[in-house]
Amino acid sequence: MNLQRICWRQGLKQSSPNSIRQYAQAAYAPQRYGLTVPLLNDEETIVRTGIKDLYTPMGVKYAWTDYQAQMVKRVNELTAEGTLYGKSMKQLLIETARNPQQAALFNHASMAWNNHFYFESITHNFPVEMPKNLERSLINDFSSISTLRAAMIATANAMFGPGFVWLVRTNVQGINKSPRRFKILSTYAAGSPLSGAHNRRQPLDMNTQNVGTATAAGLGPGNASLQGLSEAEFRRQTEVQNHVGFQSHNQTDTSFGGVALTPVLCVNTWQHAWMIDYSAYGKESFLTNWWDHINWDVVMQRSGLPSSEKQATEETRDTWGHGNNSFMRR
Amino acid sequence: MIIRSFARRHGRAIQHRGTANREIRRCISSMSSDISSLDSSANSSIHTVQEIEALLNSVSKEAVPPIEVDFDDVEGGLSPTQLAAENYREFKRQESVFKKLGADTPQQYSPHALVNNPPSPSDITLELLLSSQSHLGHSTSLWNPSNSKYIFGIRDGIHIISLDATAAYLRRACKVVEAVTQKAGLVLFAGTRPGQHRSVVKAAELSGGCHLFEKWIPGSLTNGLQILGKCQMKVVDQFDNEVPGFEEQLLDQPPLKPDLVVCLNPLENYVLLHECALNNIPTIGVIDTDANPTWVTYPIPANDDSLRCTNIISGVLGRAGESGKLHRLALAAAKKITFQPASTLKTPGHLDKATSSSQFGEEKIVKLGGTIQELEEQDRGIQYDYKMAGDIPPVPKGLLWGKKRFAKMVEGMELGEGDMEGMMGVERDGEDEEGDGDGVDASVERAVASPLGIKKALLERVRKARLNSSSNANSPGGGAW
Repeated sequence: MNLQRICWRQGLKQSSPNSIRQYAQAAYAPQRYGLTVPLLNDEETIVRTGIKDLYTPMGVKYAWTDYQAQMVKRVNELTAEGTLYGKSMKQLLIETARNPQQAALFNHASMAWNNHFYFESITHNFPVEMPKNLERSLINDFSSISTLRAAMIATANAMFGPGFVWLVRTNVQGINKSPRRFKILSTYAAGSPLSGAHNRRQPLDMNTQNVGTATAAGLGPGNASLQGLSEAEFRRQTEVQNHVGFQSHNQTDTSFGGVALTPVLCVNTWQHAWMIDYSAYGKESFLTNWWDHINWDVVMQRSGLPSSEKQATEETRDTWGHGNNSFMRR
Repeated sequence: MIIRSFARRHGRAIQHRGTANREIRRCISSMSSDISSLDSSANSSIHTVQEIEALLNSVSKEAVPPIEVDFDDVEGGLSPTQLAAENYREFKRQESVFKKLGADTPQQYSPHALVNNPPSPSDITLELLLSSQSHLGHSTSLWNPSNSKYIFGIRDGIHIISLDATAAYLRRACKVVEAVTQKAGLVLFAGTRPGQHRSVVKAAELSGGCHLFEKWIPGSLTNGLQILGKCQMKVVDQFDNEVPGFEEQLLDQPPLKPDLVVCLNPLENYVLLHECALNNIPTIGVIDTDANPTWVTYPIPANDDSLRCTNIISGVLGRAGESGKLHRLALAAAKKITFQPASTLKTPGHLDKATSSSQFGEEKIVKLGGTIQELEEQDRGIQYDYKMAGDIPPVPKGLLWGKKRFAKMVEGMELGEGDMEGMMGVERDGEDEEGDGDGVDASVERAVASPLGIKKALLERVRKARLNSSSNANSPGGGAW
């Protein structure tokens, strides 16, 4: 009886037996059931004292503790007693990216992944010196570090509404082995930069898409299929991204199973991430503070750049990941 | 259709050679998952495009630039296979960096991992046994009261097996398996239910033993020579490496018998367990609430109907066997042998030596239908020493064979009681041929001295009986046993 009332209050039109059971399972489940909120490095310190010059303890509570817990809780409720139970957030978001009926699960899984990614990129032991290889590579692509900083902060500031701004590194393209480049990418709402979920990348604010933009892209007015998007973007969002085949439009020059880009850094522009500490007009000051707290060692590790010249010459081989896992896998 | 339009588009749009090459290469690079199919498909694509080019050239006014694909002539370029490999490597690297972001995943059971990488005896916990459903017994009306001491209680109409009993008995069984394999014993893992074959084979592999997952052929132990006589055998040294050169001797060897048998479903393998008991082979078995614990030597009270439970048990026993085996091999490397070498085998190449270590001295040739005198002559050369033969106990005095066997053998013969007594080797009053006072007839003692001697003694006895029966035709005990 109570559960039915909860379902109605939460906006579910029909409380099917399956959904009631899901709620019950998640509500009365023991502690080890389902996914759990991960721990940050130095989580205890951060939660107690906040991140100096960036977040107060209240800000950390809203941006990390409560929000991540809510994402994980909702994902547990949506995956309880189903085939997706126990899968990691990355697996969940990739598997549900193409299914609009599972949009809720995608959104929560993607936000959990993005938020954790963001909090892993910042450190309270700031400032962290940028490694030489990374600096060289960034200067190569952005002409200077201050340019990169200005570009990222401007992009994030200009975003109206919730989203993330990413620094990504493109992967090996084509037979000519075009060099891997660093680029800035923005995703709106719960969009994901991961290759497996590219149709939910949500890189555009639909308010800025109009006939003028479409015309500039080379398509005449009156094209009913445009819906305000450029042809490339419309095609990317509606067609199957076929990497295989002699004449496919959307080949991204990566082999089957490959990835187009690697995210290395992000900033969370959702309002709950900064408004508690900076109030409604303080977005830019939040962004300037954020830049000083970036942990460049983590960024280096994610990018896959060799940390030294010696490593650059060694072949980096990854294991298949089977190893000698315990039969109770995590 | 597709290829034609592609060629046409490129014929119009492309002005120079380089772009055409890049387009072709990009198309080809996208089909890079399979190396051989890639090359063949690339070649076929190039041929097709060249054909279309020729066709267009003959028709259109503009000349279509020819396609020349030269994979080697690219500055710092990669072959399609290298590209695929590099992309996959990056994919795997990313997987390891990003997979765990977002939330910590819960512990989950994966059946293949349980079979391929089983837990060890130190991983036995009550939680593990509970999650493997090993506490679920059968309906209370189907129980065997003999195993009431393993039962915790009743729930939902079934008996619940006490998990601390399961854990304790399982640990004891692990100790047994480990000790047997440490002494180079042969363990047979038997599980004949569908789905048990993988864990049984894995356990046998780990402990260096044998597996059985199909039906046990009755008589494999009691009638081994018939049923398993044609099976291959091999001789191994202390490091478990096969030693060649024993092929001829192995032809005479009887089939091996296991030193320990682990059975995952005793209720379906009664014959196997009975034969083991007849041959004094200890057995370990998974005993459910409806099974009889006396069928096995070391029962493990657990659920035999759950594959997860039997996989855990066989996995853990296999690991115990593996640790015993590794211990034995380590000792062998340190030049310590934990087992008795086979005494019936001779080192190849020493068969011709006059001073052989055979217990029976020179090889004997037994002629068929040989007379008693000839056999006696041959037997005289044998020196049979009880102590050398190991653990064979001396024949108990006064009794050679059972009465029933004797009765069958002398059926039809008319013998008096005295004759039977004489055959049995019991001394009649006052008659002490030897004079050593041990109560056994002299001829019987001689008979015991050799296997052939026994046959000879019987022939002698029968002959005597026949001689006597003619004079004792009317004795009260004659003939009727």
